[in-house]
Parts: sequence; C-alpha cells; structure tokens
Amino acid sequence: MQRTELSHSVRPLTLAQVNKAHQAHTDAEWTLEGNEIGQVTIVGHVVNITEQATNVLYTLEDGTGKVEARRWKEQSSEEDAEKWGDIQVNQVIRATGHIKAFGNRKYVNAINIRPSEDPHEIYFHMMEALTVSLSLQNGPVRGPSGNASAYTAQSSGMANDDMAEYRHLPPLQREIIKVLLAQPEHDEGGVHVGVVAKAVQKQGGVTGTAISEALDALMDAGQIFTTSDDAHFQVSR
Amino acid sequence: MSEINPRVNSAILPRFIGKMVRIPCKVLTTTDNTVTVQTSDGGEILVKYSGDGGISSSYVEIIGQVLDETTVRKAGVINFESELDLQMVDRVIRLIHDPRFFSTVYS
Repeated sequence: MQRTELSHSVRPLTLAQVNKAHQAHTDAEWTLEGNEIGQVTIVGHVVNITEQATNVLYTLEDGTGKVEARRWKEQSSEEDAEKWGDIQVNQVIRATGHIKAFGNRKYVNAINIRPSEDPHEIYFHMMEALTVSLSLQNGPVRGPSGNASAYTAQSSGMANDDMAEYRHLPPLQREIIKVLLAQPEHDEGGVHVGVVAKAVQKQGGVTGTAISEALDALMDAGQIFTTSDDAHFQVSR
Repeated sequence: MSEINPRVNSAILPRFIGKMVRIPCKVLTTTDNTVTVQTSDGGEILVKYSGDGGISSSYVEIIGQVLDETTVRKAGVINFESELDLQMVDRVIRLIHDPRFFSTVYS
C-alpha cells in the first residue's frame, strides 16, 4: 500500500474536519477532500473526561464539532496522575495523534496532550487549519513579492517541477540555479555573475568565495556553462 | 446539530437565536444572576444564569443559548488566565463566518 509523504505530516484540523475525514476501508489511509491525512493536531475545550479500564477519553468541543481524544493509561495510577493529572474538564487542550475508528466511532488516538495555556491558541489553530485546507485546495499563497509563505514550502516544491532535478544539490548551488532559471529566457547572453551574487546574497552570510566555488562545482557537474564570457552563466538544459 | 456552537460577536449572534453559541468577551458588570459582557466587536450582551455563575476572570468565553439579539442563557464558561486580544478574536470570528470559509471550518 503506497503512502505519500503526507502520511508523515501533521495536519491541523477543526473538529468538524476530523468528523468529515473518511477511510476507504480499515487500514486504508484517512483522507479529507481527497488529501491524505497523517497525524492530526486538534485544539478543543474538554467538556467531559471518561476513565475506562485501559484508556481515558476526553470529549472535546471547539465550536465546530465534537471529537473524542483517547489516550492509554500509564502502568500505575501514580504515574498516570503525575503525567496527565493537570488535564481537567473545562480546560482547553491541544492533542496530536492519529484518527482511528473503532466500530462506527471515530477517535483521535492522542500521542501527546497538553493544556492550551494561551487563550489565543485556539484562534491561531482555526486559522492554521483554514490556511492549510485552502492551500491544499487552491495552491500555494503568493505574497505581493511573489514569495510563497512558510506553509506552502512543501507544495511550492511540487509546483516548481523545474527544481525537482536539483534537489540533490547543496543549498547554495540550488539557489544559484534558481536565480539563473528566474532570469528572462530570451537573455541568451547568459546571466552575469554579479547578478547571481547579488540575488544569492539576499539569503545573508554568503561569501564571494563560496559563490565562486559553487559556480565551479556546478560547471564541473555540467549543470551550467559559460556563454559570452567567463562571467556569464546559463543553465544546461 | 447540537455539536455546533459557533463563536460569535454581537453582530453575528442574532443569526443563532435558539441555538448554542460561544462568546469570547470581557466581563463588564455583574449582578446576582446576570453578567453584562462586551463582545469582540464592542457590542454588549446580557448573560443570564442561575446559581453560582462560575465566572472568575475578566476575559471569558461564555457558552450559552441565544434567547434574543442581546441576551444569552449561560450553559458554561471558560475563565481565561490572561487577557484576550478581542480585536484579533473579532477578525477570526468574521473570517470563520465568511461564506467563503464557513463550510471549510464547519461541516
């Protein structure tokens, strides 16, 4: 059974979204609107705690829906109280774990639960859940300068298939290729090393020597070549 | 669906008469069985309750049933230990009720 990289990700969801997620059959991956879900992180108000023989169930509400987070009990009741005792009814908590179905009930099997001490956390969480869902639906966010936001780092990698073949290169070399590719294609004179240096140095802390060495390495590997003179470069395609 | 109790401000609250809502707010005045609170958009709501209100902070989230456009019957309360930035909260509330996003956030 093939799992994508998403199976190793942590997806922030509202409780309504957790309830919307579905599984084709037992052992299949959970999906929401066609996207696979790995682990989930949820923030909710504890409205009830039910202690059972081997596990504890926290009934959570966040205004959008109701979900039970389940955790296994510790070996001893002292250990249990020490580790989990500070989670009480009427508190807001954050739980992270996998969605699991047991019969026709859905739970989040929580690997980690902690009190949410900052009252702003649940608002942040709703916005994060919304942002990720919309990014998956509509593609990465583009700011005014054309830079992708932190949340779309992964999907922008998929959108720019141009860079896929350069993923194995060290960061500076990758950056140089990116700059060369970004230049207008009709510029057959190649890109002047000064332009490359200026663009790459925006990242901060990159020396002239490092750039020279990176350019040499790229040339040795045949990734780039010089055009009109030794100071102009073009990507080999 | 009784599981849904959306966060609202004073402008959005009237859409949920008879339903349960969550109101993040600042406590203004208290009497024996009512509390007047300021919502995230600066409106005022009267919260009715019986017995011990259980309201011990100045910033709280009231969970309750909407009786009319400016009154709610309290069912529960979350007391916050620190100040809540109601301006930020209002922006979030307006966003989640935006028709473009409501169905993503809710079901």
